[in-house]
Formats: sequence, C-alpha cells, structure tokens
Amino acid sequence: MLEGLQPLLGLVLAGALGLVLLRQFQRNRAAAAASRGRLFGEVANLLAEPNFQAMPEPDHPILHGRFRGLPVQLRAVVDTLATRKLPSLWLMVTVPVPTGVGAVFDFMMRPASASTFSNYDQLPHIISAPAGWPPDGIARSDNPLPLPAAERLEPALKLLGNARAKEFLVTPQGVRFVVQLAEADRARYGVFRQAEFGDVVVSKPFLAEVLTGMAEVIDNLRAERKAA
Amino acid sequence: MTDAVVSSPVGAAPAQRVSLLRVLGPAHVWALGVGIVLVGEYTGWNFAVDKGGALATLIVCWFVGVLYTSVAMIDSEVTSTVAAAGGQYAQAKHIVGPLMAFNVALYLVFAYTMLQVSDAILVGDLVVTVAGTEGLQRHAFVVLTIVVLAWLNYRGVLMTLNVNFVITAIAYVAIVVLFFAVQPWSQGTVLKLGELVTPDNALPYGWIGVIAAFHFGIWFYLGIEGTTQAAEEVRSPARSLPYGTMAGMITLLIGAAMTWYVCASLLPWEYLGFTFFPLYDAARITGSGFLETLMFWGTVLAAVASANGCINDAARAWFSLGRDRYLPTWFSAVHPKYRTPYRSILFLLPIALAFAFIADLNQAITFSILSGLLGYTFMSINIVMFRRKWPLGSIRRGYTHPFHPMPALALLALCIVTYFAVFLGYGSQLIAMTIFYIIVSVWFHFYRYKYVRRGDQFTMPWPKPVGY
Repeated sequence: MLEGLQPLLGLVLAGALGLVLLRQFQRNRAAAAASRGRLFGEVANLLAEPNFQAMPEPDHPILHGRFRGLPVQLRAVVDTLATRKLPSLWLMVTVPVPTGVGAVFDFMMRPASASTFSNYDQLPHIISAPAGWPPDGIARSDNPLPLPAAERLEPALKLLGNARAKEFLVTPQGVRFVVQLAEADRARYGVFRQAEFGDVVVSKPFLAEVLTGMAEVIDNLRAERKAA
Repeated sequence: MTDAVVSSPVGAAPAQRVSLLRVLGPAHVWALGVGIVLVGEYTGWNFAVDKGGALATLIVCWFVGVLYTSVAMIDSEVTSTVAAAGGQYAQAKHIVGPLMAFNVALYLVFAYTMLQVSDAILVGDLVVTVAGTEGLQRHAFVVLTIVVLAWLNYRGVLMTLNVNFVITAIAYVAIVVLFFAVQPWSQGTVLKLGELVTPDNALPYGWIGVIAAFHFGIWFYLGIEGTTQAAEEVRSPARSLPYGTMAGMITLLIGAAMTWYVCASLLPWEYLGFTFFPLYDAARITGSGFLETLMFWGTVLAAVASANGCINDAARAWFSLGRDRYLPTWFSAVHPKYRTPYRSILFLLPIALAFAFIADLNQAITFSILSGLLGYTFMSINIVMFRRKWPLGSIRRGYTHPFHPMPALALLALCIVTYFAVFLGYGSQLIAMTIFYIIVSVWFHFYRYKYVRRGDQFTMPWPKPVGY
C-alpha cells in the first residue's frame, strides 16, 4: 500500500516545492519593486518640485526636479552587458540645459569594456584629458577643436575623485555625471547570473555634492560663453 | 564584494545599502565554485572511464585539478589587473592583440554554447529515461530547455528566477547524501569497489588509456574560470577573487573524488564509461527510490543552472564582438526595454538547437572541451607575455599568483596532453575545429579588421610594455 502511495507522495511534495518557489518568486518581485521605489527616497526633498516618472519593470522610476533653478534628472540603470564582469547599478545625474559648448567632451573612467549606458564608444576622437585629471580615464569628443577650457571643468575633478565615479559628460545640451551605486552580488551572479544589488538608497550628502559640482561647471561654461 | 558604505576622497558615499553581506560568506564562497560547474559531476566525466578505465579517471581527476588550479590562479591575476573589463577576451585585446581577442571570444562562445547543448541533452535524455515511455524522444525536452532558458535570458533582469542557494544546495547535497547513504566506510555492504575495479580492469588499455582519459577529465571542472568576474574597480580582489575560485576548486576536487568513488563502486566500468547519467544510475543500483529521485532532481537542477549561465556568457561574448566591430555591429544591439543583448541571444539560439539535434552528448561535450582547451592554452601563453611586457612593479596588480611560470608551464603541458588525448578519440573533430578557427582568423584578418577602430583596442592606463 505504501508503494502505491509513493508516486502520489512524490507528486504532492513536488507540488508543494513548486508552490514554495512560486511564492518566493512573487515575494522577491514585490520586494524588488518596493526597493526600486526607495532608491531616491532620501534625496527627493533635496530637489525643488520633485516628481517621479514611473517606468515599466525592471527600470527604476526617474526622478525629475530642480536644483538651484536648474532642471535635474536622476536615473538608475542596471548594466548587465559586459562580458565576465559583475553587473553595475549606475546613477546618471543629468542637468539638461544649454551649455554653450561647441562639441561633446566625454571623460570615461576605466573604459576597458563597452559603455552600454553611454554613447562614449561612438565618439570618433580620443583627446588629451586636461592636466591633473585621473590617469585611468580617457576623454573622447566628436570634434576636438571647440572644446571648453580646462579650468571651466575643474569642479568635475572633485566628482571624479570618487572611487565609484564613471563618466563626466559635457554636451551642448547639458551635463551628465555617472557614478556606480552598487555592484551585483558576486556569488549570486557567479552561480545564477542574477544581478542582485540589495536594497540601495542614494545618499543625500553625496547627491548634494554632485549637483553642486555640476552647477558650478554649468556656471563656468555659461560665463565662458558670455565672455566670448 | 563591495562594502556597504564606500569611503571616497570627496568624503561621501554615493549610496547606502540597507541589507548586504559585507564579506564573502562561506556559503557564497562554496556556491561560487560549485554553481555552473557542478553539472560536470553529474555527467561527462565518466566517458573518461571508457577511454582508460576507472583508475585512469581517478588519476586524471587529480591531474586535471592541477590544470584548473593553474587556470584559477592565472585568471585571478589577470582579471584583477585588467579592471572593469573582465574575461579572457579583454585580456587578449590588451596583452596580445585583436586577432587573439577575436579567437578567444569565439572560444568562449562555442565552449559555452556547446556546454549549454550538453546540459540540454542531459536533461532530455534523463527525462525520457525516467518516463520510460515507449517511443518518447528527448528532442522535445531538449528544445524546451534551450528555448525556455533563452527566453529568460532575453527578458533579462525582469524574468530571472529569484532562486536562492537552495537550488544549488540540492544539487551538491544530493551527491553528499548519496555518498553517505552507500556507507563508504564499510566496503562490501553496498559499495563493491574491490570487485568492480580489479588489477585486471583498473587500466584496461594501460598507461595510454590514462592519457586518453584526459579528454573527458576536463569535464570535472570546465567552467570554473567563469567565476572570475571582474569588478568595476580593483578594490579588494586579493580576498574575493582567488579565495572564491580556489575554495570552489577544493569543493570540486572533493566532489569529483566522491563521485568517482561512489560510481566506480556501484557500476561496472564498461557501463560507467557510456552512461549519460552515472550518478543517477548509481542511485538506481542502490534500490532506494529516495536516492533515485534526489539524483534525478540534482541532475536536472545542475544542468539547468549551468545552461542558464552558458547562454548568458555566450551571448555577451558575441555582443562584445559586435560592439568592438569584430563582427557586424548589428549584433551589438541592446533591447530597448529589457536591456539584454537580444540579437546575440537569438542568433545563438538556432545554432545551439542545431547542435542539440545533430550531436550526441559526448560529441557536444568534446566540442565544448576543445574550445575550452584553446582558451586555457591561450591563458598559459598570455600570462607569460603579460609578465614579460609588464613586469611586477610596473603596473598595479590586484593579485599576483605565486610560482610563476610554473602554473603557466603546467597548464600548457596539461593542455598539450589533452589535445593528444582528444586526437586519440576524436581526431577528425579536433582537425575540423582547428580548420574552422584558421578560416575565421583569415576572414578576420583580411576582411573584418578594416572595420575595427584600432585606437580603441587598448584602453588601460599602463605604461608602454617592455621592449616597445
């Protein structure tokens, strides 16, 4: 009789395990969604007129606002595309205002793999970075001649001094700073190729420092344009 | 593993993590080495028994362990130094050149695509065997496995099953449970090693059989180099990279020895040499329904976890080739919503399916092993060039492996032996692959290289190499 019950017991056990895994999957998805909502929880009040733009999964919501009168956009991007490299959670801080520069200046730290969150790889010219800039970064441009003067970009140096800084971009349409918020859990990615970052919350003091630096760069660029 | 709060020259951390392990815990260290490689304990290694006998397989198990220990040490050094790049592909670009990088990327693609095919064939055959239904063929299950996993990878972060280490634990614990269930401390009760492996059949083909067994001995550990994932910035690799990989090697060595011991003590070597699922068959021999079920699920889970990682890695290697213009840039497209290399995933899917229909398990494994071997051969040459061009002290290294050049020489020697072993059994396949790589190299050199941005190939802030 016991032998006859074994297949049934096996099915019941398999079904129970399947339910447990499904429930776990649902809980984890809910937790991930909640975590995405908390990413900018501490910095929203740093901006005037903060508003969140909802994005479809798996993207994080985009936070829009104003800082010192300048429009600001905060966007988090999950990058899982590099070969044999742990995924990164990048924070892209963009100030989309006309800067008056004549060309794109894109400084990328450690550009040894494809920059899938940026058009850096598409810029045709490698240019000399200003003196004193980090040696493990490389600058590119679409047109090396009308670049801004190095001293105008000096506030960016402080931002690039952060060990997790990745990119500083100046274009005629605005300025962007990219920094790594988190790196995927090594064991979980190594085994399951899952980009698990845990619960990440952007730091308010850090963002204030970044926005201040970017605002100074924009002020310098505008002053240069006026002087010209 | 990154710290919860990062200190920086500007004094502020970009983010806080509410919950994060600060260090690589023991469970994670173990999981690193086991995850995508454990399938090698469930199948493939036993074909070495067919080549040289049970004792030959055990000998090879330890020698190939030395090969992979060298791989782990060498890969850890280069990965921790070529920061933010990751993988032998980026290493080849910086240390050897674009043609080598092109070949290395292809090694990665084919090694992991064929490993994925092997995993799918294993799942299909096992399901058909367990079902025991007359006329049921494996192909539907093989296709289902490959297509479902490709779809998961296509959907990327959104659809990744958020499983925990219970899944991997089942696969590894299954081997441990089987080991203790057969009472290894009392030979003759369940295990009959003395009867099944005798002086007459331990080395049925003599010492040439030991050489031949190297062919499939690689399968015990193939994929361990995939655990050396580069971090964005070299911060504390001295602990995490080699520690994780070496701990994984130790785990696999123990697992391989246990696997051999149990299987060789339960299955006659002639049968062990050709079965597709030695551990499952060993469990069946014990007569325990529980062990049989445990081994079934252990095999399926190990194979599926491995196949998932393979699809991920192969697609990203192909994507990188497109991104660098080594292949048409069409392949470097990123899905606008899921942010996955979807064209690369879709392109490799029919290739995997085609091989799954054409090849049987040991052929698929051989293709994977050959591509992996080529990659390991490159590694041994690469590290010598790396140390020669950028000696110790000339650049910052996150981890420096000891006893150089002994690991490189040992690795190269074992690779040569294994090439010979493959030639003994699958000479035509070896020649075909060699011709294939020569043809694609010629195509790259004479046709494709003109599209490559030469100035973009070397991006590390290193001084000029010695001699240049």
